[in-house]
Amino acid sequence: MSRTIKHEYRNMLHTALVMDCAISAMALGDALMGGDVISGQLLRERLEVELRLLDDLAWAPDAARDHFELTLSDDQLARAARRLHCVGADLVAEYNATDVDQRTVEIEAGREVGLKVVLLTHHLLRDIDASDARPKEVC
Amino acid sequence: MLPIECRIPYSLEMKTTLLRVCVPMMRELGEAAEQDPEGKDWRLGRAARPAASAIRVAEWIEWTFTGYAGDHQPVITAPPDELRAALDHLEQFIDRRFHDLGVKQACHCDKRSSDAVKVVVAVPVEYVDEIQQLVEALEICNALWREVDAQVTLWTIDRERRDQLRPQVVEALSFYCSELHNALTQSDWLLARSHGESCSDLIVALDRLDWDADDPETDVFGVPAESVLAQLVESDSSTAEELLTALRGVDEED
Repeated sequence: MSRTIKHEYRNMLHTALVMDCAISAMALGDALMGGDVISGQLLRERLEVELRLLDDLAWAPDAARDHFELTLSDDQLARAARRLHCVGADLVAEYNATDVDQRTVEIEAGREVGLKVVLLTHHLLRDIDASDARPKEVC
Repeated sequence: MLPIECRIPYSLEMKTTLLRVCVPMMRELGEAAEQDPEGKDWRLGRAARPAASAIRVAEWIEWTFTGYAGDHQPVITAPPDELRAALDHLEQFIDRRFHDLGVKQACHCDKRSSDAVKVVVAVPVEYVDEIQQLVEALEICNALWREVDAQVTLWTIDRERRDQLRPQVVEALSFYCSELHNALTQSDWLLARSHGESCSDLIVALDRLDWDADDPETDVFGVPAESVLAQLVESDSSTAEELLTALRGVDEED
């Protein structure tokens, strides 16, 4: 099924996706060098889907398009959305766990991104669950 | 395990000769359907698979009897198993036609030998042209069998070679993962994308060589993509260099 998302929503996903992709890449490299086959294979699945999603959303943050087509299968997209949902939740949790006077601009910004990513991935997952054969715009 | 598609160049003569076999194979299905529109008879089922193979072959060689569909180098691009199954059906059809036409002896060579096809004796004169075409088609089928076998052999490696290559792929993937991480955190998008592609290629290569170093599921492994081998050659992998030379040798022959 073909899905598209609007530029503003794509930007939220992009921020979280780049963060998590960097983490996945580093973790996969470490697992390989440590001979950890099981973690390596799990991270392989994760990184592959994230790279594909970055292809869809464009790598550079300033992509000048109104809409972005998501070409991942429902299964892959759901996996990526669940992962990004967790990333968003972690950003919000980091904000909540930080004392008010310790909150930096980055932590504040992370909370904003995190809240939007949690909401967006929630909608995305709900849409995948309820998906039918018609092409549609997710948000 | 085989990713992989055969790529076999073909000539206009090959195409025309194969289509002369494929079209009557398809027609047989039509005739069976006419005789048994409700599918109660065994004929329909018997004709269906060969006809499907004939359609597949016709798609691989682009259907039209004359000329190529484009200005590109005409190449059959097909999964080896599908191509072999289709060749089997074509040969069965040809053998049956020989029998129907009253050819007493149709002795075609072993699929894996390079001997010419021999068809001899007692050819009814009114069928000479068709029989000649069938003989040519059989020769082409045999050539295709040999080419598929050669390419599939080239795309697989044994356990020993795999054990030589795998650590190099692991090291390269680990390196590019680290570089991808750095490029993403430094917002170098062009470099990140390039490293992302390298990671994807190496992930597929490791799928073929098996992620588990010590307990792989098979003793036959797919060869990493040419771009991956080229990367490994830069890291002084003699195994990768041998494989790359072999693969490029085939491309040049093509």
